Amino acid sequence: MNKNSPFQKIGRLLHSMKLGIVLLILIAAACVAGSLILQNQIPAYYVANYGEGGARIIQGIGLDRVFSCWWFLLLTALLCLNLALCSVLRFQTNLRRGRLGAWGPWLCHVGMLLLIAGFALGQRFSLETYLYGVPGETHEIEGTDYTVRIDDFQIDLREDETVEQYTAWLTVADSQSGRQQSGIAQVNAPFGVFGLKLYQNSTDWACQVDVERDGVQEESLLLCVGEILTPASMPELSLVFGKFYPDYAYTEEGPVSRSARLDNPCASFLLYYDGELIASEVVGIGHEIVAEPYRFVFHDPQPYTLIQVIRDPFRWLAALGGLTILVSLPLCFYLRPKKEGGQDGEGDEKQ
Amino acid sequence: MTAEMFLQAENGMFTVAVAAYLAAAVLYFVFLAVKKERAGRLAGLIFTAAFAVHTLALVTRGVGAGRLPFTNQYEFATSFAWGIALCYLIFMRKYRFRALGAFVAPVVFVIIGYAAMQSREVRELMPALRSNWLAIHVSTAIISYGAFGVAFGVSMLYLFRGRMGEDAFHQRELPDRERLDLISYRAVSLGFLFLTLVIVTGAIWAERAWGRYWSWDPKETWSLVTWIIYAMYLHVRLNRGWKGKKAAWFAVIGFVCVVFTYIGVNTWIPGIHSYA
Repeated sequence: MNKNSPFQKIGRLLHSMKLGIVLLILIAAACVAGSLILQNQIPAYYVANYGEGGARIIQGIGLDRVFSCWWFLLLTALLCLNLALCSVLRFQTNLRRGRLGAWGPWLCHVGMLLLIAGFALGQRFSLETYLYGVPGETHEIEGTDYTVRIDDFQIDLREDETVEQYTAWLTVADSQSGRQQSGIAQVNAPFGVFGLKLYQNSTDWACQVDVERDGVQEESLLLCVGEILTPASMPELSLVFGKFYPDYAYTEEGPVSRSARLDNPCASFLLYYDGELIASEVVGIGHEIVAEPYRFVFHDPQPYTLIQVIRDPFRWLAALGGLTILVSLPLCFYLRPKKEGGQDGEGDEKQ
Repeated sequence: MTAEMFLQAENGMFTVAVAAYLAAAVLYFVFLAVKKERAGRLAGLIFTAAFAVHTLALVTRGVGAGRLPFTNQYEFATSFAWGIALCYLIFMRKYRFRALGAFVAPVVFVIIGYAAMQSREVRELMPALRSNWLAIHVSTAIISYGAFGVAFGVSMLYLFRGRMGEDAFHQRELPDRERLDLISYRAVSLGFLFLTLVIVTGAIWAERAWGRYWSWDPKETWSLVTWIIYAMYLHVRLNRGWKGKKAAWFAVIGFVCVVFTYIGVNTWIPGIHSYA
């Protein structure tokens, strides 16, 4: 075949170092843009911060979601192709040379391929979901046959009231086989079970809320901060649990909590009727919120836990990639060159 | 001694170290500009003494705080400056190259000066920072950034070397440009190896703390950008023999990225590393 045919030229380009460098520059530039422009915000954010024209450009070319945008994925795919072709071509050359150091760059490329493959497969096939609740509650893990029971939840405070550790005692059950296993999830120490990892992600407060209509209790339910309560018999009315203050005080900066102790517990709420805000206040725990014919009473505050559940079957592949890169670098730098600086006659156009 | 006494002692030693680094930087400049041999010797002594006091200050803070001093802007900035000073001393001994101090000592002074402007309050660690991975992750970052700081100094010297003329002093005290280029490469390769370790250990820790080993947080992203820049430098150097000015500029730009990753990202871009 003609060495200068278009196919040959494209082939040479695809495994050339020049293309690899150009791709790295473009990926680095995309990363800079993706870090300077806040990602995955609502359109109004970009209009407010960059003006109508700026927002149109940012959203038009995907700078608001760089790392999942088609052109970023295309650049990464091309880089992988470049690395793969280069690795294949270099394999035989390295075998002929027979020097350990010559395998450094090859291993580094293979490690990068494994890492990117592990990350991409993990993004595509991993499971990530959240659940929250208070001790005694059981929740299904979305997309699986498993349930999680929150056996207990504890926040350890130091003397200065800063948090030392959050601990959740959990029991995960497989609804198919009936197997179950209990364990502890703490910050920096997830609970691994049945191929899942459960992380103690966050916490906030929940209150029991009594709902009365015309003096008769209609229901009593647990409401977490951020949740909305809508009475069944009056769907136009909504009560939003805004924030909880264990030790409420009003300062120049607005409402604050002086400590984490339940010394003056208060809840801020918002009341909507037919989508319109009709009240927004902070009330003490046990006090009534009146919206005729309804009365709401917040009581029995307790912290709830937010648990993050992850299953990434390709994490090992990314870990193998990272390890391979780490092993490859000493070979590249300290075993490879005859002369320092790598001038050992490998100054070819290929990687 | 109580924790507070240790922290007070650290405060004093830190101030002495800042002043000594400044004195060393000035003397190194005099050494190079006025070609006074004695100034160079004295600068080397003062720099080494500053490093010793600085080391003691870090140890004292560690004892006073009851943990490794790696957890806030002040602690990492002073450790970062210490890493550059350590790498400089190693490279100076290895390559017998004192004049490098004229370009490295000011960098150490600027970074430790930045540390001096930060709050030195010792706070209890938030749960996410209570991990053994913190020590591994940050200590590898200190070595990596230190080596890149030295590469920056060597590359700046390379870029100025042509303008300095050739006389007996320069021939004696300054390596030729080829050797400068080689020293810069050696520093970059050491820094790159450790930067890779920083990213890998950070990913392992992130997986344990946040559930994801990579989440495109600005700090992670800028570490990747820095890694890519140095990877390109090493690639073109090892495979295409890129040397000299272009390589020197790469090392300078790489270090600008390092500084931005540390200071710029923490200051201007919110992310999950914001507590650092």
